[in-house]
Amino acid sequence: MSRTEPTTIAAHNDADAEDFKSELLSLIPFLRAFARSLCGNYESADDLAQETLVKAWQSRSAFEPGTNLKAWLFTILRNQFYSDRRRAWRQVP
Amino acid sequence: MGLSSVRQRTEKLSTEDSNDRDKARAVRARQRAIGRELRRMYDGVVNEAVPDDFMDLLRRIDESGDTGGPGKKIS
Repeated sequence: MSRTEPTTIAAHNDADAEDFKSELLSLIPFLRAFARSLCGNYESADDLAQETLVKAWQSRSAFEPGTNLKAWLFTILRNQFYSDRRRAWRQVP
Repeated sequence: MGLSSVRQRTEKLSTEDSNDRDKARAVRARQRAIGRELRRMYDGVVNEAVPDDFMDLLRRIDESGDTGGPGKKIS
């Protein structure tokens, strides 16, 4: 009985991961638009949006299902934007 | 006393006031204009087709070997 459990859990996690990914996919246009409104520049905006996707994927276990994924992603993006800016300010004397 | 001299006196009294009001109104108008422009741009990007890099990224994201285990925090 207990031997089947790990497979079930793994399958369940896979399904969750796929769901999460397809939700990420559907929110990409909004991430790009938000990034563009912060950066102004086309390329750095898309870089920022992509960084956000990677971060979100790596931290997906921290996301509480049923809460607002778009707001969660926007928070990651905004934090990333601020930390990138801080780094840039430090580098320019 | 002519109408114009009354107007002059009134204007003199309220010049500072009205300058402040004008300034505040100009700031609000500018903010609204910026807001409108940002909104227009935002909606424009939302309706753009997603570039291929994003699709590639999502396809590759699984191979990074990260399982999204517990205890990870957003930095």
